[in-house]
Amino acid sequence: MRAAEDAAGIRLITAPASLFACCVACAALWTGARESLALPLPLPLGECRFALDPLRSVFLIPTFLLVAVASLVLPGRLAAMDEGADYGRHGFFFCLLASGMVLVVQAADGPLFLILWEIMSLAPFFLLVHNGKRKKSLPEPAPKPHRDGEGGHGSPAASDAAFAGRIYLVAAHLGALFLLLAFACWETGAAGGPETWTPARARLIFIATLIGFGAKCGLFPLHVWMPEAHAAAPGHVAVLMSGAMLNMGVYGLVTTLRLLGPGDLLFAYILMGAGALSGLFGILAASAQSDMKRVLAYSSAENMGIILLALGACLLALQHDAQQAALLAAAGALLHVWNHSLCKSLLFLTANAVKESLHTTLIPRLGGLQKRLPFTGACFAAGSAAIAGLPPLNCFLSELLIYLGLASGAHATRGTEAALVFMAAFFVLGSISGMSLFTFTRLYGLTFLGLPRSGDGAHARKPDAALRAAAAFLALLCVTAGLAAPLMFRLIRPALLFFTGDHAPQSAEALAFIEELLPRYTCAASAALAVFALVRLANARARRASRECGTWTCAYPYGNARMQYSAASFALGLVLFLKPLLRPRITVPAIRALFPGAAEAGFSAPDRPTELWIKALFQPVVYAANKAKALQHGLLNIYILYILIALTAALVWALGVSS
Amino acid sequence: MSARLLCAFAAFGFSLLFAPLAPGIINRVKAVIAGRQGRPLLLLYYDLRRLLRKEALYPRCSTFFFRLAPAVGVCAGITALLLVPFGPMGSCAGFPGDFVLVAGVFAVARFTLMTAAMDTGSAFEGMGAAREAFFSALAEPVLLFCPAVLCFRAGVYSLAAGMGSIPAAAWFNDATFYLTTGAALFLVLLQENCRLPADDPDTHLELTMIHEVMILDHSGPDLAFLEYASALKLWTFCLLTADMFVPLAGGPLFDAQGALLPDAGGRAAFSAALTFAGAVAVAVLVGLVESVTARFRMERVPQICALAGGFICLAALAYWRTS
Repeated sequence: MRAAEDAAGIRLITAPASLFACCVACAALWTGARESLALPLPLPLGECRFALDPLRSVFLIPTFLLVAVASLVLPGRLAAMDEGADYGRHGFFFCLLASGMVLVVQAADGPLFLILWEIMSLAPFFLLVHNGKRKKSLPEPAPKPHRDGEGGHGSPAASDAAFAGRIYLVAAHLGALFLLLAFACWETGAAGGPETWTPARARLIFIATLIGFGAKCGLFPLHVWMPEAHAAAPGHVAVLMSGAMLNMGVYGLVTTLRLLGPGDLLFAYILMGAGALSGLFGILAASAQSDMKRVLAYSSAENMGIILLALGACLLALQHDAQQAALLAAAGALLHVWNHSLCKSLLFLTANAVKESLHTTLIPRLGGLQKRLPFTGACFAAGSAAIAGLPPLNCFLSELLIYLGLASGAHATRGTEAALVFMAAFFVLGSISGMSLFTFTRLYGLTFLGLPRSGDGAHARKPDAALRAAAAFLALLCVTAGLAAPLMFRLIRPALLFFTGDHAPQSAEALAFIEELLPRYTCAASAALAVFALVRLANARARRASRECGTWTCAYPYGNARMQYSAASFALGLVLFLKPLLRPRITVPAIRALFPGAAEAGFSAPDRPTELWIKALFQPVVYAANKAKALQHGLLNIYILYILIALTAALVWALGVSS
Repeated sequence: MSARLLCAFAAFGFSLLFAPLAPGIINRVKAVIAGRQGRPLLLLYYDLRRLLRKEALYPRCSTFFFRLAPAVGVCAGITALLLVPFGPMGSCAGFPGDFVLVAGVFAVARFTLMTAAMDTGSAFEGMGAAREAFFSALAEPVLLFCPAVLCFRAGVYSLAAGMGSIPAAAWFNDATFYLTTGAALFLVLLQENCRLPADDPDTHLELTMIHEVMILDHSGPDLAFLEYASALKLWTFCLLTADMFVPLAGGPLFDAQGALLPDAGGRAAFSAALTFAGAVAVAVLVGLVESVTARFRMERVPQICALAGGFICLAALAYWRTS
């Protein structure tokens, strides 16, 4: 228990410090401050330079905010972990992750950035793997790569965490490999900077960074680590990973684009394509999952997709000199980064409260939690509504700006093929938001409403005060960030100049358009809230008498909780409709006898990209390794033959070289 | 307050009052075609009065969400009517991007209605919620895209400017474009308001219902609010579709400050009456469609959205070719 008190000590220092830092970052963003700092430290290739500018401030604000939130809830989460967990080490890596993210954003030199990126990427691995009991060696990995079916909930948490940790480590380092490639390309380029390069080099760098940073922010085919890692991570780690660490990928991409300059049209198309792909498939996969945390993880892929789509739209609009569209899309993208951080951390925090209280996050085992955990349920509902893009909550605001940006782009580029791309992007974004409403209605309704589907809910206990305070704080921010639209735009305005440059007259006109629009949106949203209050009052007054009764079950008096619509049946219509895209595994029991026994029907939506990557990258290695086993059979005479062959080969080579 | 805003608020009040008429019109058309006497035109008004006097019953396992849905539904309808233009009168609270907010407030109403349905723990209502969630997820992009295509075209981003007052010359010049967009909007209307062939509002079999099954457990004043909310939603969609089909004859009615131009008073009254007639005509059209079609099988319902999507994509392509 002393260790847990030590962990509480972390909270006392980290939470106020990062809240203060968050305020400083807000002030820096508001004033558009630029600072730089060079430290006289010897680094192998570059120098130790840090910088602060409005774009960096945009990414620092959610990081600091979520570090504060995560450290506030840290002691409670540690106490809920297994007895004997190594709190000291956990605290160390937690702080390492937090400082790594903060420094990555501020690093102003290539090699320094890479070193810090590596530190930031490594820390979550230790947080994932060492959250169980301290062991001499890592637990055995879970043998199967996908455990998302309704039947597959027997695997122990420790091996889950180990599998998640490994897949995270592999994905993070494959991503880092591409970043190294990009940096190598950059360093070997001509001294004149990106303007003097051939398009091929710039494109190679762009593709490599897209893969590298895309792996970090969980773009669709590269998202494989995300469902595993987010599902296995304890609450405070999931908050940091989903809310803050994913943003680092976006930051990296934005920075690359800024360094590469306006670039060519291809960048915009690739970004938009990657964003649309990630958004659509992310939300499709999320809609069919049966684990709360996995739904949330896939929805992160969707939201990162939306952000990339908006960034790509901004680039495309800039190519066509459509300042208004570019500003709208850029503002939408940056605001969506913030809004996604807020909602997703709120959702992970509350999902973790469910996990701690009921020891499961499988939707088919939950239900009726709203009655037992009203506060957690209300916060989860707020988060779900926000991330589904419902007005007047925060994600609606950013999506509104992106929609407007796409519409404005389609108008400004009319007659060119870019207009078609903008229109298609608009349609895709509409589909994504329709699907996300489906997904989050399903998630919230099945988990928190209705009757409990298993006995697990009976001993639900409410989460600790710190978690409730953190969740309430985040939910409040979700609401206010949506309503205070003009304020939010004023905050990010200094950062927008990075995207649009200084086309002074046009930019000013476009800025004026947005600054006129947002107060009117706020007015309309507030009017809607006022109307709601009035209607609610009228409804309450009209309800003179009320009493409780049973639910209508079609005149059948023995309805029970098992007859409710289940997680699989809710999604089945959509899954069958989109079968070619989702490729689910559907199991239908065959009824042969006259009096069939108990049977199970359902479906699982396995992660096809994970299977594909495993097949393409790792199975050849396993195959080669298995083949190589034949060389190692323990017969001494054959080993001596190997040595002879090697010696002969070396001799021939040496003779060849000398002559 | 300018003359235009006054007109817009008057039209808004008029819509609130006359919205429950639309379901009555549809039913009357169906009755006439079938050769029946039919229900009274004002039946919904009587129903609402009767329901408001009754007591409300709440399922034992329901929570706050079950009680939230009726108020949110009505509030969504009212907010949408504040944003949707009543012909050239414009809207009360429109702003650039308001078409996204209209889709958004209906999404909020849907979210609360679906959660209210799932809150009862009933198999049927869960089924209704699942169907509603699925079908409206498909309709959402079309619903957003229809006004957006008009906005791409006009370069203005509010419903009032993009749809409210389409000049007659432009309309007849490009009738195909407006008719295709209007057709898409009409199909979305059928789908979103749970009319035939997507859903049968008169059915009494829980297994085949979508919207009606979600409100099975609501009673008394709550049911009255929900019925009024769906009438408001239907009226909003009728107005939107009517805006597509009823162009504005002659020049603009109001100047930039919103004051009525001299000698435009008669035209204003005429175009307001024309918009109302247009909305009623759309309701009649819904009744005609309902008279001649049967409800689709559940797995064929997405075809309505696909057809609407096809129409609106054609309109977008037509705009792109000619721009």
